[in-house]
Amino acid sequence: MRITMTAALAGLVLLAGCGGGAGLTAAVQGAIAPLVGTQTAPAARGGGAATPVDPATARSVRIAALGASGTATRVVDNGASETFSGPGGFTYTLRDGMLVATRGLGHDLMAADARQSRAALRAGGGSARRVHETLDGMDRIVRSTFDCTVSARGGETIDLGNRKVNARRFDETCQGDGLIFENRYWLDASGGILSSRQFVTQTVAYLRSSGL
Amino acid sequence: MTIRAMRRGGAVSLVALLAAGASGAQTVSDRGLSYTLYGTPGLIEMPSALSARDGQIAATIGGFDGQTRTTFTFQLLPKLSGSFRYSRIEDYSLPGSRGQVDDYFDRSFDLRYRFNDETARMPAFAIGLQDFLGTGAYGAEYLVATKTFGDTLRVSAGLGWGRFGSDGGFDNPLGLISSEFDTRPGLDFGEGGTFEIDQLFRGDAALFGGVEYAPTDKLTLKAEYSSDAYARETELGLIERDTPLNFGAVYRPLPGVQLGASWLHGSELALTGTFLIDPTERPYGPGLDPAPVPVKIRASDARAAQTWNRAALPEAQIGTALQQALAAEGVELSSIQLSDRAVRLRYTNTRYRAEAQAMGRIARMLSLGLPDSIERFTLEPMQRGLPLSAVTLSRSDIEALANTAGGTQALEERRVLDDAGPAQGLAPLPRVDDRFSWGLAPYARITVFDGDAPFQFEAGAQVTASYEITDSLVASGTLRQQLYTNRDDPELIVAEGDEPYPVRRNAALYAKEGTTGIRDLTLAQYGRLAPDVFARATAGYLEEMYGGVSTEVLWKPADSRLGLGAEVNYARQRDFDLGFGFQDYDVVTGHASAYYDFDNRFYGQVDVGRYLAGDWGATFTLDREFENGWSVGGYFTLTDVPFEDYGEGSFDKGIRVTIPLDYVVGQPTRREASSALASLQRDGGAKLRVDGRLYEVVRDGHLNDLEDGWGRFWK
Repeated sequence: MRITMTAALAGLVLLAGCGGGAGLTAAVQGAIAPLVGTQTAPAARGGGAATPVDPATARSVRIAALGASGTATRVVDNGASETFSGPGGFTYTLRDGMLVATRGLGHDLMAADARQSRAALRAGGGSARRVHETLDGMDRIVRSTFDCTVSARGGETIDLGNRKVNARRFDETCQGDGLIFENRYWLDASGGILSSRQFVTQTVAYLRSSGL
Repeated sequence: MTIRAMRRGGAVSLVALLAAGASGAQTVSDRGLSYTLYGTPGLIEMPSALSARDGQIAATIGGFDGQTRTTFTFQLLPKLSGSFRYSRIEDYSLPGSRGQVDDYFDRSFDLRYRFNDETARMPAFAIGLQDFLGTGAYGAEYLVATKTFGDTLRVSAGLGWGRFGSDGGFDNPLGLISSEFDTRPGLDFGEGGTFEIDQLFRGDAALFGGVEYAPTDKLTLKAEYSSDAYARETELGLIERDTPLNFGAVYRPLPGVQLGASWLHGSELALTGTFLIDPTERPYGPGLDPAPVPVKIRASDARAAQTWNRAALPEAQIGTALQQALAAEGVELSSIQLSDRAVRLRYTNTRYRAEAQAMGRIARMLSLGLPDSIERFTLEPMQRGLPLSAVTLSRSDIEALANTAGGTQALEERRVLDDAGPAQGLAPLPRVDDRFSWGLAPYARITVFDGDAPFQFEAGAQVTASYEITDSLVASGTLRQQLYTNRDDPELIVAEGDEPYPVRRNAALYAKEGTTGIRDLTLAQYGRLAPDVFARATAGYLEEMYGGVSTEVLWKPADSRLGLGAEVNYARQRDFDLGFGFQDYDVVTGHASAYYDFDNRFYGQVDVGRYLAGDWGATFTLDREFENGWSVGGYFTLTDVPFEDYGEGSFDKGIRVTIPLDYVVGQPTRREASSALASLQRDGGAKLRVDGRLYEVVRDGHLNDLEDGWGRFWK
């Protein structure tokens, strides 16, 4: 468990105070890192983008509805859950590969319980109930429950940018609260989620996230 | 939102389009609702029994040749609505008066109560009072029923009194109860503005009714039989009333906008425009807040630590680093108390409207940066140097409940709210943020309802500056330069007869002579006398018209719904040129106040005391506040100044609206826009205007405001 601080994020320290989300995350970590002791705050550098991406801690992310696409960097690794910071500073949290929260997207997914869906993926299919929480215009948390069916779609070769891998594809069809959505997952041989397309909220629609 | 999702979401489809809309309690009633020329839900001029969606505000401008009506209708409660109307009638005068006024201006208030929700068999029924508080120029009462048939047809029928009983009238059926109902007494409106209870439901009654037909979602056609004879207007030759039948159409080009045209009484073309604002529908939904830092979860063995190594990580370093980190969130950390297992922070949140949201962001940073042994976080938000309350959270809860369904509510149940602790034990941190701040901004002032000059406009620029000598001692001032006004040259008003001293009526002279001037220049000290007792003293040029000293004490425990306060001021009238000089008039004014939070989103306030003109009395205020910071309310003041001496309007009253700016821009900000639509401000019941009164400062960190904003904790 450690706080990572890549140079790419450090470059964004310069943006701190401008309201940019990535700038915020970076600035805060820069200030707090000395306390944690694992990291010294790196000097701010301008050309952060030139720094190579570490495949162990980075993912490629895309939200088609918002036109956001690029590399996401892990900002916190809590073991079972990891939080990544994507282009423009939004963040998303994967718990064992399942999307459980986004921030900085406006209509964020505030929290989710997708444990049954995860279990169904491990079991090779089945039904699951998931809970999503969103925030409404009155600052109240709105809880939605979805009934889902996870089904195996067989093996596919997926392109992770740097490499092509064989994966098992699963589709999860969910219905509830006046909505239907379909999540897709590509699992490796040990059951880990390599790549996925998961529902966020009505406005944001889907977030695609893949390992590199 | 649903439609956008369908377009954008690809595979995200809707099971049933209407299912989402069915969440509102009374969809039948508010679907396809349109507004009358009086700005109330209904037909063309005749009302219906419908209500708008709860909390909705409808601004309607309607008019025909010689008459313009501007109305704000607020759905106070699901079944109760109130309207405030300002109208202009050319060449009019009230019944019983002689002559005609070129431009007659009139204010009126309505109330409508709907008894029941419409069902498949049962129509909705409502009772209404129109213009019951003003001059009665539009005075009418009604009982009305409305029934919707299928998706396209709606029929309303009712019984009207007053104006709505003036055509085709018959003996009042209420005459069976008492003969007093048989005749409507002549209107003796005096100075206007009083409750004309001896008129209500008196005199002849008449039937009215009409049909609405909606061929498409965007268009509604209407026809009505009007029971309004337009008696006075016809008598004055202002309108020809050839028929009781009116025909009209309403078109909705955009959500929230309605444009209407109608043909009245076979002789007049009338136009209306209605703009709907729904405080519950925030344009940016949850808001575009930048992402916070994530929570860091300690490993289970680290969690067991009982202490941390202060040699490796000195307390001073933690304070300085946290201060720097929190600054990125607009949080100014003032002091910190650290122990092996707990931390206590005092800070000022300058960015987030909801203190709960600032707390969420601070808690995350603490989870990220503090030694593992620290388990308890106590957050003490401050405003103007006053510690408002203390919220204690467990670090393990923060770790367990972040990004967890049900986590917001679970954390709310586990947090401990208390009064802020003592200053003792806190290590102050040197200030790093700027003590000096300033801003240049345009300003505009609109004065309406003045009988002689109903629309006065003034605009210019102002520089505001403040310097925080300490957290709780602040010097601030505003310098104002007027650039434009349409105001005529005002004359000095002096008290005549028993009138109160003109404490407010010479406002126009300040605008005329104080084109460049000091709007305010004060030194304010805040303090806490006991854990739940707050105090303020402000001295200097308190407001445009008065300078002096203002002192205030407030008792308000963090978890109490009741607050009690007292304020004593010495005020002296300033020179009209807004310079440093004073005039001879001075007064000791002040109030004892009680504030109560009714737990159903209504806040009440009663102030009893002595007003600026030396008059004694009380002010009653009731606001409906929404979780997202909107507030709509009304107030009235009764003092020992008799109605005839008070002048037009009889006593001070008005409505007020506060709109949080984050509602509008979507970004986090603590700014808000407040506007009071007061009836004409006169001299009775006038209060000193002092910036930063304690209740508004303190309540942000207290139980109800915390509950309202708690949904934003994890945002």
